[in-house]
Amino acid sequence: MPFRFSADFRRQLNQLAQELLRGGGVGGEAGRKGRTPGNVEFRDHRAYAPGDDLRFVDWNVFLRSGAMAVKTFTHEEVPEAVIVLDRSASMGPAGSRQDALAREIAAAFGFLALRAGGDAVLRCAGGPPHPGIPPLRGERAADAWIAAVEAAPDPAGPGGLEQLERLAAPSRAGRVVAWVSDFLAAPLPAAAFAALARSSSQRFCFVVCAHEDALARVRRGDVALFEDAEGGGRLNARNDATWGAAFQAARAEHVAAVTALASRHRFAAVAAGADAAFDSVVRRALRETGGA
Amino acid sequence: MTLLNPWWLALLPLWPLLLFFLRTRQLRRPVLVADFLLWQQAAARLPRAALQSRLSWRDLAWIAPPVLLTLGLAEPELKMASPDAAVLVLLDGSASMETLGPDGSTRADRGLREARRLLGSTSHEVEKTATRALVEAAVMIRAAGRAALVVTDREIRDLPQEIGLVQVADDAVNAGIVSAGFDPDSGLLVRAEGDQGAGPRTLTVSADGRVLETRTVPDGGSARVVIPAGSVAGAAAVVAKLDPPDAVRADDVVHLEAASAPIRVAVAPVLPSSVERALRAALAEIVRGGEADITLLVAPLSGEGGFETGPGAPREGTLELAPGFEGLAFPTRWERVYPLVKEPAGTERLLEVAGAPILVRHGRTFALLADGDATTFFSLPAFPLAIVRILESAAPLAGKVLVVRPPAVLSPEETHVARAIRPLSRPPLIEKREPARQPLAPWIFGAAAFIMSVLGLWERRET
Repeated sequence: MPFRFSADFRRQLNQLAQELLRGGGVGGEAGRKGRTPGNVEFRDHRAYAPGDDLRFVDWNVFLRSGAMAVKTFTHEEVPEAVIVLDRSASMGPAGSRQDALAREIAAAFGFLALRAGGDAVLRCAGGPPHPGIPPLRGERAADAWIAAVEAAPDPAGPGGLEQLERLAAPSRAGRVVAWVSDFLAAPLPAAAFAALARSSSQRFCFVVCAHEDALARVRRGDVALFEDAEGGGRLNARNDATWGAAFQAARAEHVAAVTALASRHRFAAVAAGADAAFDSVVRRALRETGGA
Repeated sequence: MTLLNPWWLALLPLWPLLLFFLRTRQLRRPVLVADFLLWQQAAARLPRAALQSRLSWRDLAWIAPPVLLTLGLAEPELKMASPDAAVLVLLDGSASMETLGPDGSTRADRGLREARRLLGSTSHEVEKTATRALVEAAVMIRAAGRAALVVTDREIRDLPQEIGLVQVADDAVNAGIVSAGFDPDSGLLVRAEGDQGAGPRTLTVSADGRVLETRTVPDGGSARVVIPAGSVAGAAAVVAKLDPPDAVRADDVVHLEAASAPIRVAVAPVLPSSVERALRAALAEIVRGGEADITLLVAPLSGEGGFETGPGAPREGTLELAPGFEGLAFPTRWERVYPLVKEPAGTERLLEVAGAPILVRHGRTFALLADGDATTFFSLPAFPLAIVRILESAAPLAGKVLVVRPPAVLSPEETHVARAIRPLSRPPLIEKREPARQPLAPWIFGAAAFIMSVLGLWERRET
């Protein structure tokens, strides 16, 4: 059954965008007047040519000199938000809290970029082959973006970090990268962090660890055979306090290690557990970098 | 504990095997885990013991019901031995059983020794029984299905054969004091008798250490000592002693102690039965027409002791009790009270209802002014207690007597020393008694059901 966000999700996204993009966002007024989105600045005049938009004719120049001149502007490049969504099996199972939270964070981040007039690009790392979608731009593409995140493949298979390491350098300045993953790889993907750091100007790292409690499926005191969803091996675990405590310690250590690695590559790192809400996670990440 | 169907136990090894099989199957069914890497790291943190598979209490709890059911099918039974000993040894309780033999042991000791020899390892209990009741007790015990063995120094001829018998006999002969008593009129009387062959003895009577009389008891004869009451009137203790002592010590010495004589109560020829019963219960001596310590009159009275009463009438009201009668629960309503129309001067009112006297006293004379048949007073516990209080008030008037102090034995029957009986040893017939059987299967099935219910509830709570 394909993944679907909750009916309330779009409302929550709008509320989040309204709160975070109070200043009009990256595109500002220009974005809302149909011009090329982005920050605009007056550059020069040029002679009017038939077909030019009469709204850009400088009537002061015409009154002073009698010549028709058209204003030209320099456009600040629109930011491109690249959202890397981990689709390896460790992000599952499909429809689980882990899967849903990761998709919610990815969708929210891209939605904010679109509402700011920028581009949103979804990259899936790992999982089944995904044809990918072309970059989406502008607020009108918000529904397409959400549908694209919903249509992202279900978690399966290994991590596929090599794709991230081959991520191309930005075509223009202002690329923002948000990496949504549990980063369950041994060793930690330092090369991928470095590659993403090279190819972006602003970086976010969402460490999503909202996995189902595997011991909850085991009767207290019983032993169960755990098998790696990514095919990494098997082990016997017992549902008792010793195992529970050891697991909590291992998870805390993992989150700390990922956060440390992300910080070294200037990522704003935010951890999200099973009880975290996507909007508060995104809000916290943006607060770390000084807002939208 | 015995098993009626022990072959069911052959199933027992199956249950641990089943448990092992289920556990193995459980471990063969892997659980896919997304965050496996974290579990791997957790395992690396744990000590070796935590990683090893081990039996949990729940495994054992789940295996308990089938194990218990198997045990229950084997039908275990608990054989419960009878709490009673197999044989009851009835020991003759007469004083002659204390007759000492040449080795210094008593007849009872020797008889019990022989009884133990006869019974061997059979469990038994010893119970002392009066000589007269020996045969009857043995027969009753036998009838109740229990073996009995009688140990005595009498010749018992009518004892059923299945009852064991030990007859103890020796050559002892006895001389002893057979009677000792005091009468305020006749004085102290002591009599001693000796069997033929017992030899001459000396009977000495002394009061408070002072010898009053010495008399010789000839061999096979008797002696009688009579001491006037006045000679022993003030004595606290009198001892009658036969020397030298013989094999039966119990009748060689008698101690008498000074004690208060029963209070003699003079009563009218016609006395309500309730009053008579209360007087006898209080050990008073009822005197009709003789000298007495006190006089008890019951209304209606016509001049007896100076009292005269009018016609009886019901009375009801507050009670007034003289000192000494407090705490007794008297009725407040009296069906018929005879009012005093004449009384001697100085009459003291001990009990009054609504101002009418019920019990009065004048010197040594007490008068009850209520009708014993028409009132509930005589059926109440307060009535005999009131009589006791009257007698207590007269206690200083009672005389002194000498009474025999236990354990003196003054019965020739008790101190009888059989000389010609035939020693006899006969074991009792001991029938094998099947021990009571208690089947344990219902309890075991119950325990299995209980454990399963608890485990079921536990599992439901956990899921």
